[in-house]
Amino acid sequence: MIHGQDRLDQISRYAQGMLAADETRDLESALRADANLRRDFLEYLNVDAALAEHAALPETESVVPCATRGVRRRLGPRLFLAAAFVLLVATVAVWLGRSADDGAPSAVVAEVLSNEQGELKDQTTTIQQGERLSVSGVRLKRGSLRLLLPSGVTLDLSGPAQGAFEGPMQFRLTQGSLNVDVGKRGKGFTVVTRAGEITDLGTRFGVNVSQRGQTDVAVFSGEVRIRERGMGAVTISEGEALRLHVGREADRLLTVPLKREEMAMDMAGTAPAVASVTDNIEELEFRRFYGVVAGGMGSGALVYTDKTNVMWQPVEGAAFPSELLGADVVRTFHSDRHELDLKISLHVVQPSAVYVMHDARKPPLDWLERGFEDTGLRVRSGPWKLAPAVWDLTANSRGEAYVEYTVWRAHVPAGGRIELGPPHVVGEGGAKVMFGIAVKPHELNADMYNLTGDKL
Amino acid sequence: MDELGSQRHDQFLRLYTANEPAIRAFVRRLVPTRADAADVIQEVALVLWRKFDGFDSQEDFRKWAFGVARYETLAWLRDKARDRHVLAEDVLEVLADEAVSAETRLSAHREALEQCLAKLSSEQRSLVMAAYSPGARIEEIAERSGRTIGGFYQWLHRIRLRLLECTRRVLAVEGIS
Repeated sequence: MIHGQDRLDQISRYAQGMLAADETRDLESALRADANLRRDFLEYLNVDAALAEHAALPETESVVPCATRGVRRRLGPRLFLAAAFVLLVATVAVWLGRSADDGAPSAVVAEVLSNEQGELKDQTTTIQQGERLSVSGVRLKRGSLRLLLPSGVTLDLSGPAQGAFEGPMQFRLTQGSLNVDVGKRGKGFTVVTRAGEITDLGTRFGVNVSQRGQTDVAVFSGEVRIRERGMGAVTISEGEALRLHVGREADRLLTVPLKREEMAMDMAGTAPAVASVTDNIEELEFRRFYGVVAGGMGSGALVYTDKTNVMWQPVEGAAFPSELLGADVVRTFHSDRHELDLKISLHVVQPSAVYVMHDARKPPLDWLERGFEDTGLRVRSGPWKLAPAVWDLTANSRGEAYVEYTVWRAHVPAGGRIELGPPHVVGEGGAKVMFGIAVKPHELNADMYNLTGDKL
Repeated sequence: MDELGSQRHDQFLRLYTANEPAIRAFVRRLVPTRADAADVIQEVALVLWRKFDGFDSQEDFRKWAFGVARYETLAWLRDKARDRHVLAEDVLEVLADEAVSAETRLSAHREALEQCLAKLSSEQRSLVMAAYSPGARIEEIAERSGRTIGGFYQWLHRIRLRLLECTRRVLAVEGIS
């Protein structure tokens, strides 16, 4: 039991080096006499040490989202440039002058980083990658357009989309999908929609606005401040998402479609077999989202939404299991691994196999044994560095360790919902890593199934 | 460095990296402040490497490292005791003994902390991590939080207590007490 408040205050001040000599002697006497106080003392300083450890971890290793953290992009600059060169030069709609929105339009000089099949809706101007334009508004029928602003902010619009600048640091998104990377100098950049304002606090985030103004916001690194129209303000962090409504309070956005190549919202890509992912967490401030990457499963696919460098890998010396390749990846939250009552529900829209990757160091979860079959396949995740999840594993010379998983499969022959149970194994010291999820339509493993979706 | 020396170096790095959080926490529990712990841990790492030739690979590295860390920490404290308010050596010896025997539980606490941190609001987490970041300027973080410096330290203390209670609940569920 924790002792009196005074004693705890004393330990706190000791932990900050603020205890006077007489108080130190007093604490000393109490520690000599009281084994329970010694236990509290050790546990309190243990928390202090662990917090320092978390704060000192490399950015991508800690569970804790932090405003100053940057994203590790999987699409490196060299790859990006190579991709940009092969992009089709197409047409996009840019216009100068007043937009249809209420906000005052303002022209901003932007460099076109890429234009992929972007199509003009009204006025046509042929533009090319590398061109510098004075842009007040953008109207994309389809395709995508990536612009670099003088502030260092990168806007990546996916059509159909429409928006207009209301100043060098403010963009009004009327409809469509936009990914924003504010870089080092673009802090304070704001995206305005009918439902609210999203102000960047040093980050990368995605916004999608529906025809009716409903606004989905997902943060991929750092933090954003969201001011709902007519409501309050809230800050959300890396791995969190909100759905803003016009005229009523925001709620948690659980499923966010993500691009395969980078941490960005993907509203225009291939529709995944997983239409939605929900869970039974009802805590008011819990805003984590499940990322769904259509066809993204393979070596290098990210495993979790809150661990931005832990990737699926083949086990050493083997190829990645072909049965899993090209499946939709559902990124879970690593921080959920201790939850006792968690239930995750997948809504699958076509006949599919649902795969659960479970830590091979732990015995099978009871719900896996009841409703799934062990495929005998193995994959691993990593690299993990200085993380509690791998303190029992031997690291390589770079200090990296890899966790091996067993792969379990259940069929959803006609589509529909499937529920997954908690990751926690009582009596086993809890889960060290959260399980992973992938879903592969039967038609993509046609050699394994007949037309009814039954396993051959 | 010859091949044997290189292998030995790699072996040390692997073991030290895997056990560093536990060694840091062990030192932290014996010294008054985090800055003290940072000073001591540097010396401990050097001594561990110097003595590594005497380490038998059949031994438990963590236990061996705790022994070295304990000796170095107490030596450091004896030196500092002249001009600092540190706990008496007999109390520190008892604490060090109890910390070693409680390491499994304390290690479980540290693991559970990650889950408990995730339960804080994003603003609270952000402030805590900022306060614990290397080179943190508490006066700036306190201002950002809208508190005085004293108020911010009090708030941090309350958060630590919340996290401690939370880790205890997690461990109770797992049957670790």
